[in-house]
Amino acid sequence: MSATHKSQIEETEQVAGEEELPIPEADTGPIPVWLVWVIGLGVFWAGAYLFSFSGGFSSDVFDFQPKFGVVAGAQSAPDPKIVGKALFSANCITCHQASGLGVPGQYPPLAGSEVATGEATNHLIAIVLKGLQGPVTIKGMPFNNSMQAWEGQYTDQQFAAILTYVRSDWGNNAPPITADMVKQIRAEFKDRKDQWTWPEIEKMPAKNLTGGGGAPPAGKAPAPAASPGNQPPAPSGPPQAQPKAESQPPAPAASPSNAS
Amino acid sequence: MNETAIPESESRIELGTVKTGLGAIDLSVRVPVLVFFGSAIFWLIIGSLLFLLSSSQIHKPTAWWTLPGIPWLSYGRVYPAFVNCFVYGWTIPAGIGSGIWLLSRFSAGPSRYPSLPIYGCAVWNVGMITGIFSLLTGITTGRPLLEFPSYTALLLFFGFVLSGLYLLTILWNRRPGPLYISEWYLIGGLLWFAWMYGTANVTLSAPAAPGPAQPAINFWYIGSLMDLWLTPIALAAAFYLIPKIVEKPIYSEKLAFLGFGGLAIFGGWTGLTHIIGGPLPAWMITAAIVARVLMLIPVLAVAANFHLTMKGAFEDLRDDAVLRFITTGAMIYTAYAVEGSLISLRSVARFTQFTFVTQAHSELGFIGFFSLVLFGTIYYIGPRLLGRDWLFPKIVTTHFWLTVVGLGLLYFALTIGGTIQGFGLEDPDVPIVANSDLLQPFLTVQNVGVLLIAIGNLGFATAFGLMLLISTPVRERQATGDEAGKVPVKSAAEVRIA
Amino acid sequence: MKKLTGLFWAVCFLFGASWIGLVAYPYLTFAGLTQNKDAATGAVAPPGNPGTAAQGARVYAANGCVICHSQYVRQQSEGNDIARNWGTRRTVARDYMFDRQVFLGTSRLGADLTNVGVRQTDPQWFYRLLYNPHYLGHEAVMPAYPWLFQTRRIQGQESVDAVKLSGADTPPSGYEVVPTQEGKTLVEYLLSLKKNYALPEAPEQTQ
Repeated sequence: MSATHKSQIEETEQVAGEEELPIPEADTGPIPVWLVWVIGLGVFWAGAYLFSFSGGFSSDVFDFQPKFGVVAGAQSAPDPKIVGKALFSANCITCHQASGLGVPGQYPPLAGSEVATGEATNHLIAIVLKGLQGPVTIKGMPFNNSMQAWEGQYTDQQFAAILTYVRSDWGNNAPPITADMVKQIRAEFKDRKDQWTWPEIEKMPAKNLTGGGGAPPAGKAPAPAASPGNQPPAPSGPPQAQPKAESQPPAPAASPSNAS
Repeated sequence: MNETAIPESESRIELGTVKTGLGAIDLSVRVPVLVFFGSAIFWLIIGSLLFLLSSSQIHKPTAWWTLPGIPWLSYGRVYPAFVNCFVYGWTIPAGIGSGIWLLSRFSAGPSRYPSLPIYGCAVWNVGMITGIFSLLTGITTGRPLLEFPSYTALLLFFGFVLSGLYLLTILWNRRPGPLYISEWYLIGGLLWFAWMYGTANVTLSAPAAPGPAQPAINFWYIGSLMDLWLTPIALAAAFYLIPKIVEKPIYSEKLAFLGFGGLAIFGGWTGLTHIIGGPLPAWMITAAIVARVLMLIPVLAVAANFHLTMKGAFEDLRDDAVLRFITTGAMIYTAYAVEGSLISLRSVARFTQFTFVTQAHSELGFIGFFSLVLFGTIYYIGPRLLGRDWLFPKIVTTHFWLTVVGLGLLYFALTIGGTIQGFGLEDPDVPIVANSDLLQPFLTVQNVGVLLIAIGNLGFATAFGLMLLISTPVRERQATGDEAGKVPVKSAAEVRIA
Repeated sequence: MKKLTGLFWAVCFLFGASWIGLVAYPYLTFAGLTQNKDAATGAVAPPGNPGTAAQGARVYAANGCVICHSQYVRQQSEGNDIARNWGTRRTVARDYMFDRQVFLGTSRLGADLTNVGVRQTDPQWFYRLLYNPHYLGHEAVMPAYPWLFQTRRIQGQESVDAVKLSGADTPPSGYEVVPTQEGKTLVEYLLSLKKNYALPEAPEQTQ
């Protein structure tokens, strides 16, 4: 070894060796109790937050607080019956029930209903848009109640989905309703402010509407199956119309709470 | 300690007699470490000058001293150039240099491939030069922290791999025994950086990932860079130097394990908190927020560990400037992580996103945590490698105060200004240009802060250069009893601790 | 952690989880995105990007525009972007499916540019701004980009592209300021920034 090298080592050792201590060690102290609490609370919060705001871990959900749940596959048009069922379950079931049987004496059934499944699709759409009040006979049973106007709550596509669903479940088997049909009726009666009465509906010439496009994906679709910490029932109305929705008269069909 | 020269082949260490042969190990890593430190400091200075220019430009874009109208010195190019100088030019070589020295502490003998890191550093520097030159001439990808064109990225990656291989050879030659905390962090950091940098560059450019996936990958990379490269490198140094200086063991290995494990689990997920509300599935962003908040667990574990280790030794801070650098860096790390978790919450992010608050936060991490710790580390290692002192021991203290005060001005000005900016952005009646008016006084203070930091860094670079070139070795001075030397005669230990 | 191999595998596995979630998964999922076809009208959304616009993106990157301008619209519950008229709905993944360079941005020293092509349809407005933004008054922090333009002698008639300048920026008489090729492609890119088509996963949100 060269003299320079030797003196270089000595030189470094002089500096290093003088106060060079052994490599540091780690002692066996315990994890402080407060940190254990922090970990516990943190994990608890994390789990709750993660499962509440992940939209079912779907790649199509961008809104961390989806009001209507997951859009079922943005790539393929979702089945309007599925969309419709979800929308139906948000509000309509409050009166017409999930079984479609209504409440005898109070709310008319939809299963087997001549209005719901009949060929006079313009009647059906008109009622759903503007509401109906007063005495009406459905399936031979009398009813006398008030159904609110829903036209401000849903888009044409959403109505089409709901009505298509209604016309296909509980043994019903009527042709679907399209957004164009809804658009037609909406335009036809755009100036009407009041609910229908049954005599007025009967007087309306029955029309079996034909529409162009079917019921394409309606903005938001069924509630996600995969999120355990699910939202409470969706509010009455599409998310973007929040303020207007809340100011609607809280008819029996109005949903209790707002998901946001 | 025996005075005769130790042949290199016999410089093995037995447990408990670490002192023996340490000199030979130091000698074998001396050139690699100094080459990396020298590169790092060079890019630190370039970066500091670009930082000064860009912060003046955003303040007064039309003033003559901000050089308006020159395309290659325009803000849109100078700002990314400054960021890349800091991140790729300063932090990585400094981290590698520090890593070489730290890993060699645990080595059984001198390192065996001394030219490997030199090549690595050379390739790295060639990459950096081509990269900064490209950025200034407008050849850029436009992606945050991945602006370098692919040829530069390839060079940087290759340089890193060469350096990493060298570190692995040191690791392979380690003394028998359990891995120390610093080694966990260094091994993790090396693997993570190679993985994240390689992946990000390959998926984003060859061929380009689908458009919507690019932000996910890009910000995954950014989050990982901070949490899984910079943080481990700085913590590795802190976990070694704090117990060394205060002469006590680290309080708890369990806490250290919790700190490392938490980082490893959550670190890769945090990046997307930079684009809250962005066009990515909600679950990704929620996961990022959760990870960022849960990062508080390892951060608090590390903070508690350091605090309890230093209990009873806090007065050392008054005398030991190196300890001051490292401890302040560690404390700022905690503050940085707490702020990070806070501004990740959606309700807060609403006001702090897109503002100077996020920039101030990043700078707090880069300068306040990473740079302070690495400055302390270089101040510690330098004399030990060269057997020389810093020419003006006062430089250590001055650099410390310039950086801390400068950072304080910078951070508070940008955070307060940024918060006001955030409220302005949220108010639809406030036009965007009006925000610039509001920010003026804050940007002035910011510039003062940047100036102080730049001066401190220049002093640091000067001191490093002087130490390399001029300082006389301690041994020589003591042998000749040179009282007329530039430093009063004291023992090496006293002189070094400024 | 005593063993090197244990450490290595733990580090790999844990980082691999984030790699799978944030790199592999988005890469594969978004590679399979298709345009949405509106059943009623047959329109596809998003429409593809015009070729020249892609070149302009390179100029956008080269001049660092992404440093101060963002390009995504947040939903109503996360920010007031829609109230500022920067869009009528939030942006989602499919909005970027044809972009080779995505400039989301993380700073809004300047306005969000997602729909700037909807707000400003006149190239003159962009040329004026890029040539010298300080006519906006205030202490606008946007720098000027004179290298995207050239001042030249008027040949016969003024060019169609000539930028209409005023005040201190007016060129000397007999000269006009026209954008260079770079300037033109940049403005074409900016004009193409429109995300005003409908997508089912992002319903319109109005105040």
